[in-house]
Amino acid sequence: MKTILLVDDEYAVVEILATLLADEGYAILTASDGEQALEILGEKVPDIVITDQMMPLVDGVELFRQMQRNASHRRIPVVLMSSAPMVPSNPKLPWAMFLQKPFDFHDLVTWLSKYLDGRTK
Amino acid sequence: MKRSGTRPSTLPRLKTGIALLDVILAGGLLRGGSYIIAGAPGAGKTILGNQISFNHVAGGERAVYMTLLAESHGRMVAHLSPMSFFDPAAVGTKLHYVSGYNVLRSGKENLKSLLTVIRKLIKRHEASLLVIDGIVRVGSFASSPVDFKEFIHELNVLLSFTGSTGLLLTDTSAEEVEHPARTMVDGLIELREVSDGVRAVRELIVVKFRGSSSLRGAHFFEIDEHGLRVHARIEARLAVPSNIPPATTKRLSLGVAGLDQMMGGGVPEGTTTLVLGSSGTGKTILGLHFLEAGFSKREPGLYFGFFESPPRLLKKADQLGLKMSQQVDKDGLEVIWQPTGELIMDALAERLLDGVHRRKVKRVVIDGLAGFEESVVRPERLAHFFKSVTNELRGLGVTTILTEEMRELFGPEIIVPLAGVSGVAENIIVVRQIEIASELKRAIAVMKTRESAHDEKLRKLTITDRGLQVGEPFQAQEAVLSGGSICAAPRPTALGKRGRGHAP
Repeated sequence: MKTILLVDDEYAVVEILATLLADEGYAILTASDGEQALEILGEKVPDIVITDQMMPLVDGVELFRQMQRNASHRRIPVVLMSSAPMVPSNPKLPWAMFLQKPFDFHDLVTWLSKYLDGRTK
Repeated sequence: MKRSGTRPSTLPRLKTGIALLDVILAGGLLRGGSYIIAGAPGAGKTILGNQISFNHVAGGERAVYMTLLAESHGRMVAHLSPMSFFDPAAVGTKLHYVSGYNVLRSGKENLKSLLTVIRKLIKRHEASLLVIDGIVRVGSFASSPVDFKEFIHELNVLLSFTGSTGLLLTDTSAEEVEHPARTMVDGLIELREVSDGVRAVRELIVVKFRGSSSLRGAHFFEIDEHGLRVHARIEARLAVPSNIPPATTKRLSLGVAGLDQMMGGGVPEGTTTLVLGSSGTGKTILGLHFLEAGFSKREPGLYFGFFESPPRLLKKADQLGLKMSQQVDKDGLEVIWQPTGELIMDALAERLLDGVHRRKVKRVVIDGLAGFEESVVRPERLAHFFKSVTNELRGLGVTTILTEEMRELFGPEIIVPLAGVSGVAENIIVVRQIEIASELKRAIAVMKTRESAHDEKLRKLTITDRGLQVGEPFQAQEAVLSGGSICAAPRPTALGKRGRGHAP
C-alpha cells in the first residue's frame, strides 16, 4: 500500500481528501502545515507528499525546500496544490505536479496511480 | 477657493482603492487600525475584503487573507477570478490565503496560538494588511467572553505595533449584532440590502470610525464585474461645493433670440434654469439650442438624457440645422444617454459630474428630471439631491438647463412634479400647449430670472424647420399659461363681474 502525506491548513480539505484517497486504497498521513509535515517526515517516509502552497507557519514551498536539503527526503516526489493559478516561480522547484484548486479528484487519482506505478517499475 | 467636505486626519491611511469608499472614509482606513466589515450572507463582505486586498498589493504592498471556517480558498479564488481587480500573479506571492481554523481547533491556548500564527504571518510576509474572514468563529472557540475580548484587544495592539491594518469580516445574524468585538475595534462598516418595493438595493454604512471623520449615513453600492462600486450619497459628499466661483454678470445666449430678449439678454452665467413644459412643447429642442449657442464661443457642452438615444437625438438636432454631430466629432459636445431602469441616483450624478470634469464643460442640459425620479429609492432625498448637484455645477462655473415634463397637458394648474426642484433653479421658463379657437398653440413665459427683470408677457412659440422661434405676445387673452385660453373681457364695472368666454 502506497503512503501519501497530505498537508493543508484547510481542515475540511485535509479531512475530505484523506477519506477519498483512503477509499482508493492509499495509506494517508496528514499535517496541517509544513512544520507538522517535517515532524512526520522525521519519523516516516511516504511515497509522495501532496501539499498546499499557502499555509500559516511553514508553507508548501518552504516545506519542499527543506525536503530538498535533507538526503533522506530529497527523492520523495511533491505535488503542489494551490488556490493560486500558477506554479510559484521563485524558487524554481521540481514539483511532480501542480494542482490548481478546486480540482477534480478523479484527475488526481488517475495521475497518482500512473505516477506511483511508474516509479515502482 | 477649494473646500473639503470632511476634515482629513494626519494619521497615515490605507486606501481601499475603491474611489468613493475612500472619499466616504476621508482618505481611507487608518493604518494599524482594526475594522469590522459586517453584513448578512451575500452582502458582499468577502468580495470587499478581497477587493481591498488586491488593490493593496497592486500598490506594491503585501497582504494576508486568513479564513476561519469560511469558503474554501480554491473556490473563493475561482469565484473572484472573473473580477477586474483579480490578479493571478499576486496570489501566493503578494497576497497569501491561509486558514486559521486548524489552530482554533487545537484546544487549549488556541486563541494565543492563533495570535502567534497571525504575528508570524505578518512578519514573514511583511503584510501591511490582514483580513480575517469569519472573526466570529474565534468567539465560538473562546473558553469565555473575556478570552475573546482579550484576543481582540491583543490583536488590536499587535496591529498597532506592526502598522498592519486589520479587516475583520463577520456576519450580522441576530446573535452577532451585539458582538463584543464591535465595541473594541477602531471602525465598523456595515453592508446591508434594503427593499424598495420589488427592487433590492445594497447600502454601506460607516457606523463607527475612530480618529477620523467620515461621510455618515447610508451610501448605495453595486456589485458587478469590477467588484463593489460604491456611490457616496451626493448630499453628503457635496454638502459643501468643491469650488466657489467668482461673481459674474455675464449672460449666456440660449440660442433662441426671442427668448434671450425675454430674459434680458440670456441666462446669467453659472445659473440653473428649469424649463417646465408638457410633452411636445420643445423642451429638448430648447436645450439643443442652448448647447449649440456655446459652440462658437468654445464652451464645451454636455447633454445628459434618459429618453432619446444619441443617434436619434443628433439626427433630430441636425435636421434643425444645429450641427450637433459635427460638434460631437470635434469634442464640443458629449451626449450621455442613460436608459432608465433600476438606476442609482448617486451613480447618475457621478456620471454627470465626471462628464463635466473630464471636458471642463461649461453648458449642461439635463433633459428629463423624471429619469432621476425613476431611479430614486428614498424620495425624500430628491430636493436635497438636486440642491447639491446644482450647487456643485454652479461651483464649477457651469450654466445648466434642467427640463421637466408637466404631467398635465392642459389644465388650470401648473404643478412642478418634483417637490423642491423649483427652489434650486434661479430661472424658470414654462412652455405649454394651449387651445385657441380649436387649434393647439404653444406658449412660452419666463416666470423667474435671478436678480434681473424679464419680459412678463406670454409669447407664442413655434417649432420650425430651423428650431424654436419666439413670436408676439398673446393679445386680449387670459389663462393662456394654464392651458385654457379665455378672451379678456372689458374691465368689470363696480357692480358687474368679469365676463368670460372662449377666444374667437
